[in-house]
Amino acid sequence: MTEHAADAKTLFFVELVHADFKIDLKIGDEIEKIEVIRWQFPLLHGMLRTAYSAQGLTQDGGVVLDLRRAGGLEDSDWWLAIYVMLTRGRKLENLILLGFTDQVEDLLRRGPPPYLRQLTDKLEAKAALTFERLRSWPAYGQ
Amino acid sequence: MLLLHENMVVHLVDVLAPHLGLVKDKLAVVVKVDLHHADQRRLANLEPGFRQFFPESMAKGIWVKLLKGQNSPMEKALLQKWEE
Repeated sequence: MTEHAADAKTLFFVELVHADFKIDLKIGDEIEKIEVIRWQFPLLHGMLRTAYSAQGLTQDGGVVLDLRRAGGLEDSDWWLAIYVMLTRGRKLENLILLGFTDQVEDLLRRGPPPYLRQLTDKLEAKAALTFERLRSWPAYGQ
Repeated sequence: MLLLHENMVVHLVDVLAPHLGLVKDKLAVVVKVDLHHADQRRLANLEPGFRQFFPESMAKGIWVKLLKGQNSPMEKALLQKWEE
């Protein structure tokens, strides 16, 4: 394969993409709906991830976590984002935490958001019921 | 805003060609920033030597080299162009 042919397989031209959305903006005492058109290149630094795009990943090397609240996040979503970030590394000593404030500590001490606890309780109840039914199944235990 | 430079490792944050595996998180290296024509003209007219240059418009596009995978959707077009 010539060098050109090899390059052609891996080179790619990234074009600008745009997204249209509406936001509510407070101007004076009134809230106005503003239409936003955002142009950007769909690229991010290779070593950078948002908490949500890191879900399900294991980061074997060191991880630097920015625990600060991203604009407008509710406490429950913030807790989830922090949970995702804190559970990506394999070892505690591989984590560097930025923005671990008293507020973050308080949030973590409060534990998972109520809706998540309720959901977990529901799932546990369902699992217990399934297990109970399974026990009365003749094939179980053979 | 993300500042880009040549040789910087980036990853795609959008699905660009799903049938070819150009999906989110694909890693690539920035090869060249294709400037807006007005910025390109300004750059070309600068005097030789080290200069700081700030683009005034969004670039036309960015050439990247995929780090894994050999499936650029532009393969045919590029080869055709280079052979002309």
